[in-house]
Amino acid sequence: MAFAVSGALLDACVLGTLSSAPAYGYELTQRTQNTLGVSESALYPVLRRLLKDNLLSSYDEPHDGRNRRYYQLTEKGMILFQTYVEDWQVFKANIDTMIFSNNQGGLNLDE
Amino acid sequence: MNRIEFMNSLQYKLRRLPYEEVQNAISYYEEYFDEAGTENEAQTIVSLGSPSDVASKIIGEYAITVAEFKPVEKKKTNVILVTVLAIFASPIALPIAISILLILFSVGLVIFSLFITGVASIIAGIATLFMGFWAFSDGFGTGLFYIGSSVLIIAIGASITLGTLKLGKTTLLGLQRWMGKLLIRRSK
Repeated sequence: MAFAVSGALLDACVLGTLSSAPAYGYELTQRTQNTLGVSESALYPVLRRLLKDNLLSSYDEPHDGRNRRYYQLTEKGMILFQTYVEDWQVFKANIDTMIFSNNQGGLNLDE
Repeated sequence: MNRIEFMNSLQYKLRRLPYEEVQNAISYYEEYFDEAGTENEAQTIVSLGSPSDVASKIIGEYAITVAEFKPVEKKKTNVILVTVLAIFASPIALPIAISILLILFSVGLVIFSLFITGVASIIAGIATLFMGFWAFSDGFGTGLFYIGSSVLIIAIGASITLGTLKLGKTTLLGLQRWMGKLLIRRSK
């Protein structure tokens, strides 16, 4: 993949995944890695920062005689996620306009 | 390398971070290995990358967030040292490490020399003040001139000193954020 996901975009992806249901670290990492190709060690720092900023909260649930730490969106996280969704739609449309300008009546350099 | 060696190495690389940060990271990755299952241990180690890679990302992110928090406690200035050490500990090209050191060194020198200029001005001002009292014997005007000048010099010196302290703090935080980003980008 020529395009890498990081920064706010990765934040948005994590918030988006967790907005449907809480998930634990391993589960979340596998999903992000399979879909985005983000390296496996990239997620912990993101989770840590989102927790610090009170965008996520965590809780432990016993599983197989140990604890599983689940992450979920806080109210603040939900609000930020809504902003990200709106920003993303604008951003995506803008990029599409640039990349597909030929198909949408933009300047055709061949003529 | 097995799981225990991986975790020991990771803990060692993180040792300069605050205790709580280390504990959080360690328990996260312990859980991670548990979830992956013993049968996938080798594969997990391969896909996580080297312990220094994993540590670099954690330290880099830590450096950035701490730099962004407004209240700067004295302890947190250690973060810049942690970041520099982490850059050297991570698989990073030597020329980059050397240029970082040189940048830190020259920035440090500039700030230090400004600071010294400020302090020297204050001292010179105080000396002039005493000379002013002495100069009253040469005439009231002369004495007044010296005292007036000394106040001006002290004021300039104090401004430079305080300005430099503020500049130094801002620069340090900026460098820390920059190095944090560099660490994250460099680690795979």
